[in-house]
Amino acid sequence: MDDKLHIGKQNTNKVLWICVNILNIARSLDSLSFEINMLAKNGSINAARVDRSKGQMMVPLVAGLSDISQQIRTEIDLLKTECITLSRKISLCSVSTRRHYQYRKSLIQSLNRLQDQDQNPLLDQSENSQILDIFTSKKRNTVNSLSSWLDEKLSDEVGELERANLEKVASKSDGSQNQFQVFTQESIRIIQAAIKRLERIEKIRLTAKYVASYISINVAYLEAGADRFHGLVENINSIVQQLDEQQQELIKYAEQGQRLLQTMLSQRN
Amino acid sequence: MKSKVIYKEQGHQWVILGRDTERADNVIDTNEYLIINNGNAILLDPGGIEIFPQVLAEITRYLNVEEITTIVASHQDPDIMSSLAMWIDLCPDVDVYCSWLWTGFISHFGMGTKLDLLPIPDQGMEIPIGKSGASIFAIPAHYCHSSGNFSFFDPISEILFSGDVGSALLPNMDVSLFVEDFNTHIQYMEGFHQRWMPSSTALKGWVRRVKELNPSMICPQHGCIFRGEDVARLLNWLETLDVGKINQDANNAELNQNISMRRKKKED
Ligand SMILES: [Fe+2]
Ligand SMILES: [Fe+2]
Repeated sequence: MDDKLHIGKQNTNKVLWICVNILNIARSLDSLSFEINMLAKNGSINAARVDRSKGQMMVPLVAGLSDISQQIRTEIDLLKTECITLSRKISLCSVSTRRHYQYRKSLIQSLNRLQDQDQNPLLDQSENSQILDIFTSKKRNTVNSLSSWLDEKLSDEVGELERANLEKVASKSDGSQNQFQVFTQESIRIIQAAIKRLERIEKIRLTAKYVASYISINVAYLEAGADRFHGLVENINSIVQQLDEQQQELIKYAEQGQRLLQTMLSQRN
Repeated sequence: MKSKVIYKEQGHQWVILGRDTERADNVIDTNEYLIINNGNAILLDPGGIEIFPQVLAEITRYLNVEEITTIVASHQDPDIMSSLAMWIDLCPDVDVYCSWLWTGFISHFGMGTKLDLLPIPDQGMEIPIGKSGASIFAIPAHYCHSSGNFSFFDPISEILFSGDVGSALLPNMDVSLFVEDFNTHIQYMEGFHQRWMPSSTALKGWVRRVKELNPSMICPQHGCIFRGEDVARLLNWLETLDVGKINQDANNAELNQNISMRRKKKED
């Protein structure tokens, strides 16, 4: 039992660690979006300087960069909020796991004591599989399996007081188990939303890449001032490249988190 | 974990829970106490989260857990209160009392649950045992261990729960629940008090207050219960005990030398 608790704790810690990593990368994406915005501003100035008719086509392109920067920032802010919500849910998963095991351990100790009183125990307490069977019931209703166990295994009537207490503890144990499942499912939903958001950021990145190539094409038609835009294109491409790398990292973490959460859920079913 | 009824008269009962052999050996052994009065119960210093399952399993023998109406904490330590969130999860309507000094601190044991703690003022207060009509009294014990510290006196049984005052670190879990030979017991208490009690003046004040109460038993949070003649023996012993003693200069030279070395390394 303690092993299971240990693995559960490890998994929740891993998911928390993933949240922290996503948050850190999201913060660095903030600075990339700021850089895009700066490029847009510089680009506008340069577009105004070049020959009036030729420079005109550059204006909407560099203005597009400003929109891209804003779109990235919006998505990143939402991603950060999702990470914080996810961390809270994961903490609640961890709390309900702890509660579940505390109640479960208490119940096992009470049942061991009752069995000791009733007969000489044949099994080592920690290995008492008959007691542990109560918790592996397919119906996942510990209160019902506990009642049958008390009726079947103990020859003497268990006092009403003790029975009421044990049933209460069993129902709290089930309750915390159910809470764990609810919080884990909510966490999975949040991480899935984060993955969708990352896909949206990827689309924005591709737009930025497209804008860079389009500026590059239009630069060819400029008679003067083309140099000013070569640097802009290079800078956009470098940011797009960095965005791509960080995006890959983010997706890796998010998918890893999703897998861990699904494992947590299946291990407890 | 063992449990034993130490007082029972006319629907009023004291139960001690302790000598826990199932706890991990890095966890200090503690005594928890339960006062039951006509279907209402107070849990005194419910204990740490590590021993919650044992305490709960033992308590189920004595009362319906829903009858726990009140929890009191002598002070803020984790061995006193870190299980609080579990108890509140189990008994959501329970009233929890602790020194006003620690309400904000103990709330950190919430485990996702908001803890609404009832503050005990420095001068102490009367605390009802649910709707039983009976009460216990919070007796100031500040700076006898913690800076916001209380003992709890029950005028029906005349028992005083003293928290860490009178506590002992026992050599094994087979030691009797009650002190059998006071002079032999001193060795288990002495170090505990000298290091964990900060003020001899505060301790003398506490002894004076407790002598006035003249309890029939003194029940500490660690170690053995004092009853009969041992109550006065404990109070007299505490009255003259020099506590809060530590060599302020111990290891100072070595520490300073190491700090100097680090500083020198930084400069190089
Ligand atoms: Fe303490
Ligand atoms: Fe203590």
